[in-house]
Amino acid sequence: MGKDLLHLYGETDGAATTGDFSMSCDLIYGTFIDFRLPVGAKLKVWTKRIAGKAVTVLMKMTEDITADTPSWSVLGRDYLASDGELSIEKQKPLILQSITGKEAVRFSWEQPTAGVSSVELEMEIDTNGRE
Amino acid sequence: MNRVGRRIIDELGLVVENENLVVFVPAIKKALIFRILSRRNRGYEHIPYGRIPLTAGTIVNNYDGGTTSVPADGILPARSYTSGLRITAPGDVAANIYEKADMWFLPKEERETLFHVIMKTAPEFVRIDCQIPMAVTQGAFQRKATVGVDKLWGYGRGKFETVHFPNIIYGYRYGNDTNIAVKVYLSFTYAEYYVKILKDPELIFDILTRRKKAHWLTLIAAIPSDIPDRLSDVYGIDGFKLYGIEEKEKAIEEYKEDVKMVK
Repeated sequence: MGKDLLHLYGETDGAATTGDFSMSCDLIYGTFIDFRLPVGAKLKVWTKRIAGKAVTVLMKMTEDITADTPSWSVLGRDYLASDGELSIEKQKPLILQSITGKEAVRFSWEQPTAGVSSVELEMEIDTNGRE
Repeated sequence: MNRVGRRIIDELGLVVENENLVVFVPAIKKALIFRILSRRNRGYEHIPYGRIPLTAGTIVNNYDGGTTSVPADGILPARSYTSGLRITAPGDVAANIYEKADMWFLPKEERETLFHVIMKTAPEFVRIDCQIPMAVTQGAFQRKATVGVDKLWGYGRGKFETVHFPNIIYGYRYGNDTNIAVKVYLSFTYAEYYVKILKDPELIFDILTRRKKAHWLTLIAAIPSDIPDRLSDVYGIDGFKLYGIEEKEKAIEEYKEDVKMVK
């Protein structure tokens, strides 16, 4: 049982005004859009850094990623109102619990005008004491 | 009488010299007691091993059914778990050890050496269990149903502690129940103990009834398999039976016979 602190990075594609971030991380092979939590884990998003063109970053979750068409609900929204940089840290983390092992998260963007923006997340996966 | 506050294990979780290590094997309801005479690797107990010994192209099992091919060395694919893996020796020591395919394996003649191994993974959400011997999954529920990395429970995440007995091949299994492929790194904290099996029946009884302090480790072993035979090959006995405090006479008589057979 332990805790992992993952540093995730993703960018908008610069062409579409909406989309889902393709995230990368040093411990992850390749990139991913959806992240299915280990069963019994708690996911905590501690910090977010958003930079580049104006963008809204949405954190979404589904209770069943195995469904043919998963239903995504928005858990949080962060606005970079104009071109620049936004750091969100030193506050209570956003927490998501995995009860069934089918829960997953993804991060999406919405922009008034398409452009390149980046998002960096410090995401903890806590598997202490739930199995 | 025990000294108050005496430390049996150090800050690494390893047994201090001149203390006793009890390895309890639930499957046979017996325990072996080792006196730690020395730690041969004192001062260099950490191994930053690197990625798990899983080579590209290996076929692993999928939690959702079927199998998956490992895309690159040391990568645990999404929603997959491995079969038992031996820990291959790092290249710079491989040529000079007993078995380069398994750095923790010792032949039965090495009965005075015992490895105490604490394995950690990064990321820590990786599931781990251990097959002892290889291909015999040791997690069980009600002694009937097998549990382990491929089941809902019966595994640890990120850390696994055991002793490696000589003459037994262990197989570590790893599981990744997320939907992303991960690079899995291993590190070990270990002790290479020089040990002797206790031969004093009174002391054995006191330790096994917990009247004297010792460090206890439970070998995750619910299925006897050939473990008793292999232990007997190495040590002459497969362990000392556990007795209640009220069964002292019976226990001492049995231990007297047992210690005659200890190699």
